[in-house]
Amino acid sequence: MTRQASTLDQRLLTEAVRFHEDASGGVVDDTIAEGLAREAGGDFEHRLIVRARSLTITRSIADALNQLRASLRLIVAVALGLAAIAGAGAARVALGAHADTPVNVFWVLGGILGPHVIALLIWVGVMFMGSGALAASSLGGLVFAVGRRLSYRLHKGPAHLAAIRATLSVYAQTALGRWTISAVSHALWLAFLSAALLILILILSTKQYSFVWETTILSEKAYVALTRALALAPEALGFSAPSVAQITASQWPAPGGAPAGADKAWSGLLVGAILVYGILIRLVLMIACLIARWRAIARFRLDTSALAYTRLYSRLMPGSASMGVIDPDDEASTKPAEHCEPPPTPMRADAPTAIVGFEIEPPGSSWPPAVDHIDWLDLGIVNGREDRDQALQTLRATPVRLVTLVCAATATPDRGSHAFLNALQRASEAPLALVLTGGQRLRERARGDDVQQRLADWRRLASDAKVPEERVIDCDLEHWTPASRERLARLLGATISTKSPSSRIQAAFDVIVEHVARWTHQPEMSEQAELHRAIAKLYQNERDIWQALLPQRAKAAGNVTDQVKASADRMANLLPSHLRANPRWLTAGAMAGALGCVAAATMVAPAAITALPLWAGLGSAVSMAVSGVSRKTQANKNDGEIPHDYGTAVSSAALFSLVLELQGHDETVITRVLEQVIDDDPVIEDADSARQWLRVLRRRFDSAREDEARP
Amino acid sequence: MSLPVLKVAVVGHTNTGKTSLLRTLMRDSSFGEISNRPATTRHVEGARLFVNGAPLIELYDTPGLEDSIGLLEHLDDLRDDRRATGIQLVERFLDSPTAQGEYHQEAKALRQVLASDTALYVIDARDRVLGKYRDELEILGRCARPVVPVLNFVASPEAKTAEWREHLARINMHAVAEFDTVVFDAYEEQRLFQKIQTLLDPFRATLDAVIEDRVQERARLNHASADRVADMLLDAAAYVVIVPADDEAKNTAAMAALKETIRQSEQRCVDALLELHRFRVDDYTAKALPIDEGQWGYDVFNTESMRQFGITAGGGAAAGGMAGLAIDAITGGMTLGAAAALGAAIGALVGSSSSHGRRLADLMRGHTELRVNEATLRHLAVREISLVQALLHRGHASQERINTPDKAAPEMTRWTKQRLPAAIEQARSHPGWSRLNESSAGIFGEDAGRRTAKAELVRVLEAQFARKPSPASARE
Repeated sequence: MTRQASTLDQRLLTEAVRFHEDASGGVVDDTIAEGLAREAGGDFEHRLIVRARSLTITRSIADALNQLRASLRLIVAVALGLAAIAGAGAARVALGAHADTPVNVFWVLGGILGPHVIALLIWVGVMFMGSGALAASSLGGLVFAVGRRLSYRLHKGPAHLAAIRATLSVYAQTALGRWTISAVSHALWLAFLSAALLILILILSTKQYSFVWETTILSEKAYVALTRALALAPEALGFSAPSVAQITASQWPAPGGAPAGADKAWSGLLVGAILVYGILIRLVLMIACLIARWRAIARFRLDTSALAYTRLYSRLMPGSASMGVIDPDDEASTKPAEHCEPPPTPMRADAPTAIVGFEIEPPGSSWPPAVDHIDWLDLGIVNGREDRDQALQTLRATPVRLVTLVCAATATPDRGSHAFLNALQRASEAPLALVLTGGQRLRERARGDDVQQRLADWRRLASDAKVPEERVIDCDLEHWTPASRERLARLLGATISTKSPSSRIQAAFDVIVEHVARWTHQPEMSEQAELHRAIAKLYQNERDIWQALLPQRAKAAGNVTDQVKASADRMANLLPSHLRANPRWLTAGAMAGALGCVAAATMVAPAAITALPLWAGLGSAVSMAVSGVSRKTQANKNDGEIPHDYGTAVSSAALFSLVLELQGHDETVITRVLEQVIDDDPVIEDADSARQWLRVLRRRFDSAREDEARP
Repeated sequence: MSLPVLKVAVVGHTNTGKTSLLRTLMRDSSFGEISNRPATTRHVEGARLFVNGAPLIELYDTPGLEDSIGLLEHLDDLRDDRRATGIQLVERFLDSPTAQGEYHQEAKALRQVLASDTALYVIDARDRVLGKYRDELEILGRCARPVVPVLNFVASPEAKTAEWREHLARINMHAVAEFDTVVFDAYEEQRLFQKIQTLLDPFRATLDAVIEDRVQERARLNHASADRVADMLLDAAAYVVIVPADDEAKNTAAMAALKETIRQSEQRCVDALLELHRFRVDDYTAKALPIDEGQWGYDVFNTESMRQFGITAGGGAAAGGMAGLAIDAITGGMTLGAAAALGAAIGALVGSSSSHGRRLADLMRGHTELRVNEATLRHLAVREISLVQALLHRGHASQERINTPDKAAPEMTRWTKQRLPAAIEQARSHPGWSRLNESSAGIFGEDAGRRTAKAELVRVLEAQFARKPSPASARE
């Protein structure tokens, strides 16, 4: 075998492996073979071949390919034999059994050359039509069809199937198939014609025939011209041919008997014509097809864009590889130099309170934030070295009662911030408080876990610097509310008037009871949405804050469904863990989030929610979001059937009111309060039971609030 | 071919996405460790980029610079004579004991910069140009290496790209690259390499080879994705189950089985696409993947989900188990309504396919054909197309979930509203084209008609993938 043929075999084998893998459910994971392929180097195709060769399944596939090849060879050999027999038969039949009756010379020629010429014309035609037509309408195609059917009948199994499919697809999709089939066709005709010629010569050598021609409608002239034209090529090669006189004389019935020597001339023409117009043409074409096939083999490459190959690309031709750790972490003192702990100094009530912003965005509201009874010493917002030095200098010069450091929650607490904190502590004896602003922006950027992680990182930074935990708060100065002002004031130790707890929560609960009284059946999603909107209206003034709590992106291009979904997720995450495990509360939480998002979206519209044109989309979005959240967490709890009463609807509305009331606190506080307030699974059938349950909730809420307010 | 290997140090403030940038450039979501915390990477870690097996670029991930203000002060303290140049001060610092102590993380990064041909300075463009960043740039400016600032998170609405560009121009850094390690943009990646080219002429040929390789890689991904999706769509479109018309129980079972087969077929397609784009279902990104745990959140037969994509979900008759399915019934052999039946008749007459003959015989005996309906096909197409688009524009550092596209996405109307591509409609009347139909799996491989139809469909899909998805579906 030539080198090229062997690489054709390898490529075929690779294709067959691919078909086998496709059929058996995807690429085989064979790290050894992949490693060998990577080591082999070269282009992608070469690596594919090496991998295919090294797989364990390859052996059986290679055997199958060999068997297929063998059966195809056998079929071709048998077909050649059959063609030869057919050719011999054709010659025999064309000459006729009886030598004493004159033989029509054109019938003999037609009988032997006719089928060949017709087949040749068809071949020329289909060569322009593609390999499919060729396979269907040529002897070679027929042979292959029989061959693969035979192989399929003889050997069953995935390896053989893959071998057949691979061979077929390679032959069908490249020029290889066309030229192979053509070459086999020509070879078969060559066998046919050669055998015919041999028999013809044999018979003519041993028997005496007299050749004639006859016609009813054609003129003698036409026959003379036809014969001379036919004779042209054979004569050039030295074969004898009848002269004009001999031709004229051979017309049947011969007026004067066949002239002497005419039969010999006629048989010379017969032999010459078959040789020239049959055998030579087929021989030349066969050689040409073999050359074309050889070139097709040389050109044949695997189609590496095939999906199965592309999936292997990254494994065999890795675009990147890690070089490993080059300069390892030596665990040296990563901590900046420890500084001495500041002596606990009592707050000097008369001194001002220093405030310094560290690398924060100047808040939209006033700087420094206005807090009742607080006299600020404003050190400004520190952005660089100069600002920093100046702030520290001022602080060193002025005695203060407390240093308030405002940092951005979006920033990563790094050694730079640590160093600044330490510098502040060195510059002043006053205790330090840390305020994290920009919490909302952080929540927009990151997911729940990351938010908690970031806040914890800041708290760790503070505790490393011996700042007590209660003096670190998450308080967004960009969204300044009465609640946050109260919290900041408490942090700063300013005396604040204890306001009576808001009566708004009572108003919200009243709204719920009012709606429940109106319901006569299980409330529709839109009716629940109306209820949530009514509650939301009570908190309209702080709308931008609670909309931020639910991740309500103000982006116009935002995807409503995703907002609703995110909001449902958010609210469900606020639930304390024991409630999250309860399917009703999980659903209620998701519903509160989803409908809260809807309430925010429809706040401005005075119309009934059902009548809103966007409701159709929102409604489906809500039900998807709710079912999404509930399904995800209770996948393994199928026993959690939710009873059919107003319980879920009321729980959702109550939860929504509580969260709105608690806005401005950070998430852990909200969750803690909810944990104290909600502990049961309400059964609510009418307005009375709703009122009763909400009354209990209210009482617990007030006491939880008082607990939280206590330092 | 022996092109010079380009060494690139990736530096920047802590938690700006240096490791993410490496992951994106490497197309490998398993490199290094990423978190939202400071100093996640505390060592120098290298990676090679290969083109045709030859390493052309070496990337070095470095620990973040954290206290540049302090370090710059320290560098200035080391200046004992007036003429000391920046690079001398940096070298002096690297030899000093502080380089082992307080500033050892910064020292590692700077040492790597000095050992490299160029430095990529990664910036979180959502932050303002703070003093610490100015000082970092100042220190890097003293390292005597070309620095290409890379603005990360430019796809965020908070990005302050203009502010950063203005500042960088003021300190003579004009070759600035924009890059988003979460939202991948092939064009911006190419520009990043070109920016390095402008500063490092000796590596022009190296970078040209890398750029060319990336273009080819993308074309390959596009083609392979289209190939996979086309296969799945043709399989689903041609899939037919024949059941006795009057057997209620068998019908119900067959519907369930058909749906399950389609679901599995889609799941195989999703798995293959994820693998193709090298997002592994089993690594940490799984929790944030497109599709929860590597699966679409909603069933392909869910009419809500169809509506969401803007697909009109079937006729009113589709109720119960029939949602998303279509039926071709034949009563008494007279109402061969569907074109499919005509195709079957012709097929049987011509005798080109034995399966056609069997179908016709089955239909004559009062059987019905179950298949997925057009809305389901549209749904499958839209889902997979949007998945591929999202994957093509997803950085390998992204930890966000891939969103389902907005129904308003204008590029999708071709699939939700207009006529489906001819190849899919043809497949409807060729059960033999579906590899899901067991009996029709021709032993002699793919039908030539299917091959032609698939090639056509692949072309349509490739064109679709090449379009940029609307912002809503690309961005978190």
